[in-house]
Amino acid sequence: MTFDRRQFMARTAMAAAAAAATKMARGDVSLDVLDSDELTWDKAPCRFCGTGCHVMVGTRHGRVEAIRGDLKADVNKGLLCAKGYHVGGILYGPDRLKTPMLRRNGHLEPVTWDEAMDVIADRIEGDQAGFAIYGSGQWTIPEGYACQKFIKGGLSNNNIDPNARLCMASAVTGFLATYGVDEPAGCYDDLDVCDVLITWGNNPAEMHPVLFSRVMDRRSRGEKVELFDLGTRRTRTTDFADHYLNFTPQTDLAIANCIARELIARNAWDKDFVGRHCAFRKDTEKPSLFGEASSFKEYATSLDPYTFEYVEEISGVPAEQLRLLADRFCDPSKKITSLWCMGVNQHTRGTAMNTLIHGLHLLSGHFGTPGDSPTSLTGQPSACGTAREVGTLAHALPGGRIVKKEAHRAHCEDFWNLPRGRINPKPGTHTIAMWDNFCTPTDEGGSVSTVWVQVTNPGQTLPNLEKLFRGKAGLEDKFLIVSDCYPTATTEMADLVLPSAMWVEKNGIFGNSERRTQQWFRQVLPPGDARDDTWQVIAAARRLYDRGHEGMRDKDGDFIFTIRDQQGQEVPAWEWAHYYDTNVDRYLFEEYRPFARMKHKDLAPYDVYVASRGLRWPVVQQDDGSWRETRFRFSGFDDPYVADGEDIDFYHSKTGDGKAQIWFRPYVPPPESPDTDYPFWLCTGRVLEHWHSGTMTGRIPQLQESMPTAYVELHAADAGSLGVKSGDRVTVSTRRGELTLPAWVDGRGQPPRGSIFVPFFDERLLVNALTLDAHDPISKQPDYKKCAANVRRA
Amino acid sequence: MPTSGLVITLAEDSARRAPTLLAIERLPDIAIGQPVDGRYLPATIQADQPTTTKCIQTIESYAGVDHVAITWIGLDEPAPRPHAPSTQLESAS
Ligand code: SF4
Repeated sequence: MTFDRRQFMARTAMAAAAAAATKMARGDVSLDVLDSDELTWDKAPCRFCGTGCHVMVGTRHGRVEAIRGDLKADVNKGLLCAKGYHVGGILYGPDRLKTPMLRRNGHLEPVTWDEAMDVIADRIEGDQAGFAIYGSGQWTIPEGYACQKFIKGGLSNNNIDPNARLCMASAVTGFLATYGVDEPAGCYDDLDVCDVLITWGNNPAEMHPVLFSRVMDRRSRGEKVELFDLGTRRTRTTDFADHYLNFTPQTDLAIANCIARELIARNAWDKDFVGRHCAFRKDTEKPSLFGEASSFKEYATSLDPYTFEYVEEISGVPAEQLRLLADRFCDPSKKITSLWCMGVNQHTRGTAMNTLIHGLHLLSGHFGTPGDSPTSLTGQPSACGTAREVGTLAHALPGGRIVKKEAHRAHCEDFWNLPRGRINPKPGTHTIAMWDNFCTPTDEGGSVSTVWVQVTNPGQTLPNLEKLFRGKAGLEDKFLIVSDCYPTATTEMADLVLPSAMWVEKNGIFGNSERRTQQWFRQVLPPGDARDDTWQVIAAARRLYDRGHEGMRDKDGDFIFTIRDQQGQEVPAWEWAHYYDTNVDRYLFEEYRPFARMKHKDLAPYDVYVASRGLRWPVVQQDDGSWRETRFRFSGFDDPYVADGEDIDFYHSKTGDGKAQIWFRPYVPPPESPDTDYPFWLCTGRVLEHWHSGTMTGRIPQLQESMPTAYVELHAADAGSLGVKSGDRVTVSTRRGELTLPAWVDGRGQPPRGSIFVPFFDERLLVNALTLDAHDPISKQPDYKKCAANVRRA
Repeated sequence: MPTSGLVITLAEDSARRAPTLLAIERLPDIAIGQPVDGRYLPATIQADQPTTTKCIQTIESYAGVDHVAITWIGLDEPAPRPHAPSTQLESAS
């Protein structure tokens, strides 16, 4: 019988629809479908990935009871992936945290919020310099902004960093080093018109499925979109690729250099574009963000060794495939969009690789018109909006400012009405240093004594977990505070657990991968005593203020989180009973908004977002009073900040001449490679059904049932030599630990011989206990994509 | 070609349902199943994304339709993939 995939899909979809129809007819209220008449519908962005799809949330009797794709949303036009369709279920796991808990005699015991706030204030008063906040790209913009102000404007220690350090820090440094300012020039619209799509170590078919479907739809309409997939294992994206370039881990740098070399060798680089808009740069001896100036001649000479033959030898990619990719970059008639995400960012040469991809687009002139764009994707819904734009990083201030610069600090102090010198000039501890310090005994230099974790799960997601997280065990003077919605691998170690409201249980604003700022309102109440993270920070700050803490006062002696309603009346927002007397999100967003303008990332007033499905910054007011978003940044035809008459203008150029930087960055071998003891490459990552550490998706039965456990993907030949078949238990070990889990031979993803893949969503099987904590020297982002491992039958 | 699964909730007024059903049936790219209780109509659309969106909007605009719920969205895979290992463990036991 011929297997007809199309019929199969149709039958499956019809069966699912028929089952849903039957449920509806029985009046069986479910999250998937419900008659709209009985529901109140409101918009919200999906809680999961950085694609930023919009959903419509149907509520009834104080519960979310239905979810549908938002037809009015440009991002997803009504479609959702399997995760998004079930997003409402994240609120209703049976084990939601509902009351604050304090560890006493080894056990977590319920306490009041009042007691919890005292504990936080005591820890801060006991060691203010050693107090840190570890946050997230899932923080809403107001949440991140409140924490930023609390730590930098209140506690003056700069110890704040987001988990985004683990996911897109190298993208940030890549953008900064190239354009002098963070975040992509293009947007998702590029995907609607590109001729060639290149996925650099990226698997959007599983990780950003709705975005990927935008491209695949074009194919179904008969359009030609050529897909080059560059990866270290075959994925679901590879299934759709015209060309799959399987490279040895870390050699992506050599591949990029090879393509650049070929552009020059064929004299096919865009001399006019480069001459008008680009300068050249190279590393200094000690790698730094801006390196030093170079010349075209020096650049070209540095590329010389990267011949097809040499790169084929080290990368394993046949020269003819490299040539084919070079052909596309050499062809000015093709529109080329590059996408990348964790494969390039979680890399000890992540900054370098980011700059090389930008460099290829600049050198070839594939930049600045719709379809020609290098675009990095984010894994989290507000990695851009919060971590990057609000700047919740150890060295940064809102508005792209940095703590090291006196003028930037002064500017920020003025904005916050703080006395001069309040903001500490010394950058705080970045993620790896923060946790390393926290897990190091105080008398051995471990200077971080308390970490407050919000909206993330470092007990599962940090690399080298035994050292960087579990190392806290037995250190009596270290204290872990965790605000979360469910018990996690992090709350397991916590000394104080604070129950949080999540997603549509609170007001929120996210910023997705394409510079789109998205607002939503609270639609249901959180369970039990769970409360908003922003409230938790304001309440802690107020407790300190009441105790006379100077840092919680501004220049005039007023509370730094003085919140006023729209009539200008002060609202005691630190009291939960009054927190929703006004819209605190609106207040904080309006306070933050002027910062955004400093880097031409202009945001519209809060209420404009209320009326839209998100807008891409810079959003600039027009003569008629309306607000216009920008799709193509730095391009004269769309970006209002481009100088008159210019087609392209990199107006934040590091060199101050409107030019972007094309970098030479050499291939450097990885810090750990397979050897006799550990002969396999281990790569870790995500799966379609689960989102990140599975805290939310693991509580959605439909998703959990379809992917119930982590596994190790093996190549059939390796499985054969190990005597292993799918389902057998195998033990994966590295120099840092070992883990036993089921094998999946040539499964959904297919690693080449000598490589294995383990997803990190399963909190019972913590693969990050095995991964390396080596990190990029500039972005400090660790490498989860390659280390040496051994595999044996369990 | 991507496939979407839908449940179309038809109006309570049964007189309005028949012409609406006919109109839906005539739309391109759509296949409809048996209405449950006469009101809840399962359907699939196999079309590119803009066509699917347009089709859903058209259905929603019919006076005889109360609501359209998207119950399935799948990227069409070129080849079947094996089951997750846990499934295999179950089938092996
Ligand atoms: S693609 Fe991402 S944002 Fe869109 S529905 Fe899926 S998980 Fe949500």
